[in-house]
Amino acid sequence: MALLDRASPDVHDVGNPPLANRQQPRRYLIPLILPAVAVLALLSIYPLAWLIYMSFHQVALAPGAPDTFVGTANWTRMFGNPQYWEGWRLLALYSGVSMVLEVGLGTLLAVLLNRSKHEKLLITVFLMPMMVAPVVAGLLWQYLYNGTFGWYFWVLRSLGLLDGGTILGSSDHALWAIVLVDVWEWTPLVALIVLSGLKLVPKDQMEASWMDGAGPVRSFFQVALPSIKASLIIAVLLRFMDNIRIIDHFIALTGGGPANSTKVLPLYLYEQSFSFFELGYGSSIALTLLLVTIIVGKLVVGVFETREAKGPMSEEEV
Amino acid sequence: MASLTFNSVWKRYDQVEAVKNLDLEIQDGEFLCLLGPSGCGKSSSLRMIAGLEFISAGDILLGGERINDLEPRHRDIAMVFESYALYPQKSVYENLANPLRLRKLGKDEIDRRVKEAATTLEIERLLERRPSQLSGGQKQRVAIGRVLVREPKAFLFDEPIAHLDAKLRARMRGELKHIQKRLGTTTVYVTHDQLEGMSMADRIAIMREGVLQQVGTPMEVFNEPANVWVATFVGDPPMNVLEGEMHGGDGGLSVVGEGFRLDVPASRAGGLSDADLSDRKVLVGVRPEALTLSGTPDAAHPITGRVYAVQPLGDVEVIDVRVGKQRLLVRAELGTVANEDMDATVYVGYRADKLHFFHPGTGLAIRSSAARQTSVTTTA
Repeated sequence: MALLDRASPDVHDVGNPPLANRQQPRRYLIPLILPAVAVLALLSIYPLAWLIYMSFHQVALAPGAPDTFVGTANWTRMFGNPQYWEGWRLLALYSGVSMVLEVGLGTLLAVLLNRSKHEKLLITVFLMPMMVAPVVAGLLWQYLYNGTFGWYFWVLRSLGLLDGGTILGSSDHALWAIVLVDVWEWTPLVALIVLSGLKLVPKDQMEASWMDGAGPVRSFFQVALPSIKASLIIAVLLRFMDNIRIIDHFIALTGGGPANSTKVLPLYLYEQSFSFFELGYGSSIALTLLLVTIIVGKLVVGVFETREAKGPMSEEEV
Repeated sequence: MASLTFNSVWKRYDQVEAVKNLDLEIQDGEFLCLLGPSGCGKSSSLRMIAGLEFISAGDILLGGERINDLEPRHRDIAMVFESYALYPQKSVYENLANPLRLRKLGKDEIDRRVKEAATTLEIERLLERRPSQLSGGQKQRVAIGRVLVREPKAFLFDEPIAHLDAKLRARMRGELKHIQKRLGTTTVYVTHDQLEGMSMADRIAIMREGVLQQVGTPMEVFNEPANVWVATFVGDPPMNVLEGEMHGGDGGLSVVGEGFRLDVPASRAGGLSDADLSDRKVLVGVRPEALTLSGTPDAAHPITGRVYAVQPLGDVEVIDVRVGKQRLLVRAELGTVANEDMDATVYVGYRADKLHFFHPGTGLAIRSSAARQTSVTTTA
């Protein structure tokens, strides 16, 4: 608690600045932040502690029955399970490809929207998929992909791109079909975020770049990109956090099949915890997922962080 | 290097006509200043040369070639922006090298030109810095450096030194003029500061509300303003304008107003009599430096006024004198009037050959061929 103590105990010393300039005593600090800390502890810290506890126990389901301490059994079982690693591989593939497509297409869409005269109308239209609940989106696409009456299925089959079987029934195509749903639903959000960043691109720098002799593509990379960097970080971070724990589309479309080809880690975790009620085992999976989310999130922010050290020089140094 | 021509150029935004029928010829190697208050269309004109604004009507020629439909990057024109517009994520060196890299010049050539421009502008020590680590004056030098490295057909400056402090502005005026004269590149310089126009330009083009008012050398614009608006815009402190009525008499023509009577020199009388003046009303302009003050009334000081305020400027002072309800600024030697002399009665004298006459309705200058010759001799 030393940090929370009053900054300077000897405030009455001679030579201290007058009252108005003096740093305020911190005696109200603790009472003021206590409610927030309490709420946070209740909502966030307690569940985390409970999760850690569960990952070292075999959790009893009957009311009042004691949990059995199993040491690291849940963890060794998890690390030895090929399905766990396959879950990671699919998750990485799914969220990686989705994110690249969403950020790429979203940025392109934002640039086009920014130049359009009908920007407001178009953004409303484009944002519609985002308003749909993920499960509903999943069901909608379930119909589009359907092997009997699905329109996309019919189109792909007519073009001869589908060699027998259905879209979601093929272990080669199912994952990409779900990627497409995610891209459809979330690209507009990225576009919206990037568009807000594009509004901040300094017009004079853009013009200077044209005068320097840059074409549209070059001036985008030279001027616009650096100033929408912050927006891109937010978009990447949001999409990454979302994609790494998404199960809605998977449950609605494939349920992890065919042949576990779309059983991404969150779905595996869901299945272990709530289908097989292996709550302790599920907790260890959840903890690793949480840890990776935090680490990658930190890395994403770190990669983009700018380093500006020195301040301006004085006029005399010219 | 090339000449620049505006042929009946218009610029219209949705409701506003920013530039109205501009005809202007800028010679090869000339330093032309587009001068005017904010919103007069000078920046729109400059941006049309650059290709940053579409030309609503008319043509702009560069070296005799129509450039209306060329993209900015294909016009071979370099521009310095009011806000400097440096790339914040690039070092000073990279900012300077950027236009050369886009032209795919060799590495050694780029290095040579960047170093050369940096030496000219005395920013060699700053090449590794980022723009955020530079002061305003340094940023401005880098912005100029970015156009110097290029050797383009024309330089465009959009109020490049407006954000510097007064001391640095004075120094940069000299440096910019020196650089332009040394390189001999056709230059269009936009400013709202008449001092910049007067001190730097070969010729000044004065604009107001989208209309070109007058084009001429700084001396022409100063000594023979085309209309009353130009007369009061150019010069600091500005020209005094008095309203009066013309009266003929035995001693020739004179202009009489509340509290003053000015004799019109014989050389100007012809032009004034010919002018179509309704009610014989006329505007008389006289610059503060063509006026003198006296404490006692005599023939040389026929205007009676009251001291309103005195502004000492170090070497001279500007005395604000009220004549009736009208206001006269007089430039005089320091110490002519003291602060305590407020409300004291003074007598103002004038140099008859330095009087300007304007039509009260149109504001246009009333000239005579004789007057023209006098002022030209004075200039020379």
